Order: sequence, then structure tokens, then C-alpha cells
Amino acid sequence: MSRKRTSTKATRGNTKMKISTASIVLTALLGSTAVAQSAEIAVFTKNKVDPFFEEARVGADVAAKSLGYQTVQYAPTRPNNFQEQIAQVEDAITRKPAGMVFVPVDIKGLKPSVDKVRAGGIPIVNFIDAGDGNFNSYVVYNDHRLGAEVTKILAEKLGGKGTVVIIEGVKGSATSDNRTAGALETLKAYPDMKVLAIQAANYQRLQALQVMENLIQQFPEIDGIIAASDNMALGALEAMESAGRDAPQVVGMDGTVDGVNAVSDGRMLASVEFSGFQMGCTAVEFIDRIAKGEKVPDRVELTAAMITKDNASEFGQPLEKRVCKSMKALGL
Amino acid sequence: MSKVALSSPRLTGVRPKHMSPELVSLLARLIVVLILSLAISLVNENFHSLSNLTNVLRQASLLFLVASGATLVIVAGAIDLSIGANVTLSACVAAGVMHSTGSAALGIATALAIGTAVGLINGALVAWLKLPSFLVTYGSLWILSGLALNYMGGVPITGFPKEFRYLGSGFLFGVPVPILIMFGVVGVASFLMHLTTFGQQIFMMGANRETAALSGVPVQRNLLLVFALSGVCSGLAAIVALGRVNSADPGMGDPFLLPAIAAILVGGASLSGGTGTVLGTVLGALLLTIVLNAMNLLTISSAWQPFATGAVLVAAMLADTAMNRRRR
Repeated sequence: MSRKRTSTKATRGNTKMKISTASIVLTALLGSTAVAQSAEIAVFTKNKVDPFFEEARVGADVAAKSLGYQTVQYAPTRPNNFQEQIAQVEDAITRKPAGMVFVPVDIKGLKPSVDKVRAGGIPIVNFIDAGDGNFNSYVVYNDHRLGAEVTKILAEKLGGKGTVVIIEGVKGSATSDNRTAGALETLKAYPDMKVLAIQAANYQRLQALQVMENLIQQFPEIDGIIAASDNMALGALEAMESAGRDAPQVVGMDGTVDGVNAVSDGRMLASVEFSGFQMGCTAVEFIDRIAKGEKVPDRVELTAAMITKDNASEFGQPLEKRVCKSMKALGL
Repeated sequence: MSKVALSSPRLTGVRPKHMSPELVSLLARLIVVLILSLAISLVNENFHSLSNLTNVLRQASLLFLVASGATLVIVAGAIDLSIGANVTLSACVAAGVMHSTGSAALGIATALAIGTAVGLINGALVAWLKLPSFLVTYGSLWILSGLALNYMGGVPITGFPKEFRYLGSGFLFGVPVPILIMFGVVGVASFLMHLTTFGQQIFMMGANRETAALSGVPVQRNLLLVFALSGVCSGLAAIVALGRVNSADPGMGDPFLLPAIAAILVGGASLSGGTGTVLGTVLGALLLTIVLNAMNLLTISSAWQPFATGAVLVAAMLADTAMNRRRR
């Protein structure tokens, strides 16, 4: 039950499908000239409830297809379940895939599992959240920089002075804490800007709305809002608009479809891209290179694009319309 | 509890005859809420401003709506864990319907219909197939969540008709509409619980289901009804939530589940059934909301917020127990 897994090709269907899958694998084995390799890439995400991971899975899938692989998707049925992910890694090892792209549900706790993967001679690339362990490579964004750069846009817009509030995600999560730290780092350079409050809304839009409603009671003037996600930025903005307060300058992070639309409508000042899709693409491309015996960088931090009104039309496409940026385009 | 308390000779002599145990329990909770509010007022002058008190009531009303119907379920000796996910699904589909039709009325009808349908299915499984309510509703929590995710496909739906938004963010005679809806639900639910045979029956069922059945209480019908009412309230909460935030996403109702159950229990209901009032649930929701509001006003570090919420809950329970003991 707990080891349920889904795959892009049928792996638990009827015998006929199994035979056809086997023949595909066989063809791939015979077809590859230099190295005998599996045509399967195992893609691990943290859960099936957060649309962000769906984006990452689609990215990995698109890249895998273009490189002649198929993906097998693993995600705990109970979101972010530690034991389940460990079991799934062991399942995956027995299938001897060409490689694994992996985001740990627990940054430290999955280290022994990564060792087992490497001991089995399977390359493993860490993506999305940087975990501890003997990974072949990492494909991540620098959350600190995301927070810092988007805050810079806000500070410049406000002319380096004014009052701001910061809406955090889940306090204690690396993503949220680093984004907040980045924002605070930037604000240090603007002595005339005052942080009124740093409050958490757990990445929820409704919670951000309520937190902002409360902050409005305390602070008669708020010039800017920095939110650790677009979703929360929009919730906070809704609270300000409902209360009839002067529209503050709002910046978010992630570059969600909704966030990008708000930027192009001028409701939000800016956002910054945190693309699960692209991390999925690049991580899979790294696996391909490693499988072919080529070198890959030890660690890659993708450059996060700033999204402002000028370039918003380039972002926020629906998943089915997105294309992977090549390694060359990324400067790798 | 109430039945036991009334027949206990140790208790009846002390308490004035017109003070029912429910009233004592409600007063104890009201005092806890007032003491906490007074304490916060002393350190923050904005807390007791009229606009903030309205703000707190409006936030509490949404939590209350999620918890209101489930109070009846818990009094009847069952539990409904699907309330948060039911809010999510009702809201998402209603949002989708409004997005494609532009009709506020259809949006309202959709949310109420889905909420009620989910409640009826939960109720039928518990009442007639005799499945444990914890597992049935835990199962439907996941099913509803999964349906919402698939329905939404990862992109939130935003922007609803003005008339619809009025239910979540409008004002009537200067009072936010969600607060008025809360008063309405309190009135109807209190009437049902305390002034009808159905109400007496659900208290009996909660105290002892077998005895109630042997005394001729239509246990199965009543179970179906309380789950259906819980579903209606989830639909109603979905409407208010959508109107407030002007956006639907497949995670919007989930964070309500545990606070809603906590509000019910802090409000004086027992997980073993047989006690509880909707007014108590209002006070429970208020207490939880006040804690978060105060922490935002005082800009206490987010890292301390879970600690403070927990501490106030435990303190409230201790104070309540102490006050009850003194009365006895």
C-alpha cells in the first residue's frame, strides 16, 4: 500500500503491457552502442498535493522524453512521509534505473539512502531542496538571492525609504528562512527603510489575508510588502485592497501563473522565478550526461529571472506549453 | 456529562437551580476569553479598537462556520475530519462554476450542494454501513483533496462576481456579512440542539448510542442528519472564504481542520460525545483567533507563534477546570 508508485509507462498493468515495456527496455539496451544503460529515470518528489511538484515532474518528464528516456515517478502517498520515501528509494534501486533525480523530504534524514543509491552504482542528482549526502550534483536556486534581488526592486521603487512588512512562509523551512534572510540582507543597505513586522502565513493565501488584516490594525501606514511566495503576496494585497488602504508596492516570489498575471496587470510590482519545471529539466539532463560518462558541475544554482511588468509576458505559461532551457542557454 | 451532572447529589445542592451545566461551562469560557482580551489590551492599545474587534470577529466567524456543523457531529458522538477538505472542494468547484458562468447564484448553489452531498455520503457510510466515523471522514478528507487537486490542475481560480464577494467581504449596517452569517448559524443550530426533539436525541446518542437506540431514538437518521448539517456548514464556509480571499486554490480549506476541532473542544464539547454547544464553539474560535491576532499586532516572531497558541490553549483548559472546580 505504502509503496504505491505511478509510472509514465505501464509497470503494473497486464502482462501484455509488461511485455511491451520489457521490449522497449530491451530495444534501448540493444540500441545503445557505447554503454549498456537502462532507459529509465526515477523522479522523486515530496508529495502529490503541491502543484509545484507537478511542475517539477512535468519538467523532468519533458527532458527525459527528448533524451530518449522514460520516467518513473515516486512520491509518498502521505505527503512528505519520511519512511515512505526511504522505502521508495529502495524500490527504485532494485529497478536499476539510469539515474535518479531526487528531492529529499528531510534534508538530513535521507543521507543514508543516498549512500545506498551510490553504492548501487546509480547516479543521483539532488534538485529543488539541497539535501545532505553524496549526490553526484545539485540543481537548485539560491533562495537567499531570490529574496535579496526581489527586495532590491521594491527598495528602488520606494526610493530607498518607507515602511515594509515581510510575510514569511513556513517558519523554519529552509526556503522561507533563506528568502527572508535575503530580503533583510538587502534592506540593510537602505537605512531609511523600516521593517514593521515579519510574520508567517505558511504559504497560504487566506492566512496571508488574515495576517495582513491584523497588521493593518497595528500599522496605519504600510508602503511595501515582501512575501515569500506569490500566493501570499496576493492574499496580503487582497487585504489591503478590501480595507481600502492605499495600494502598497508588493513583491512576491515563485513566478506562479497568478503572480505573473498580477505583475502584468500592475497590481504587483515584481516577482522572481523559482521554476520547478526548469530544475526538473536540468536535473534530468545531468543524469543523461553522467550516464554517458560526461562530466557535470558539482553544483548548479540556476539564475532566477526577475519578473516585472516589462517582461511578464515571457512567464507564467501553462505547463503544457513550457519548453526546457538547454544547458547552453543556461550557460552551463 | 450533563445528564450525569444533573443527577449527581454533590452538584445539585451548590449550583443555583437556573444555572444549567452548559451555562456554567459557557460562562467559564467567556471569562477566559475576556481575561485574555484584557491582558492583551494592557500591552497593545490597538487590540481593543472597534475596528480590530470587528476584524477579530470576522476572522473567527470563518473558523466558526467550518466548526459549527461539526459541533453537532461531535455532540452526537461521532467526528467529521472531512470539514477542511470539504471546504476546499466546495470552494474550488464553486469557483470553477462562477468562472465559466459568471453567476453568483450558481456559485452559491454549487458550494452548498457539494458540501451537503459530501455530508450525506459520510453520514450514510457511518449510519447504515456502521463504519467508524473517524476512518470514513479521514478517507473522504483524502478523496476530496484529490478531487480538488485534479479539478484545479495546479492553477488557482481568481475573480468572482461582486454580489458573491459581498457574502465574504461586504458590510450590512456597518457589520461584516460573515459575522451576520455566524449569528444566523448560531441561532439556527442552537434552536436545533436545545429546543427540538432532534437536539435532545443527539445529546442522548452522544452519551450512549446503544441506550438511545433502545429508547427509540432514530440513531441512523440522526447520524445522517448531523453529517449533512456539517456538510452544509462546510459549503457555507466555502462561500465566505471565497468571498473574502477572492481566489480558490486546492489547499485553501485544509489548514482549518485542526483549529476547527480545537475550537469545538475548547468550546466545551467532549470527543466522547454528549456535551457541547455552538455558542461554546464560537468562544473557542474567538480564543484561537485572538491569539493569532495579538501575535500579529505585537509582531511576535513567527517562531514563537505555535508555542503561544499551544500555551494559551493549555492555559485556557487549566483555567476552565479550576473555575469549574471552585463552582463545585
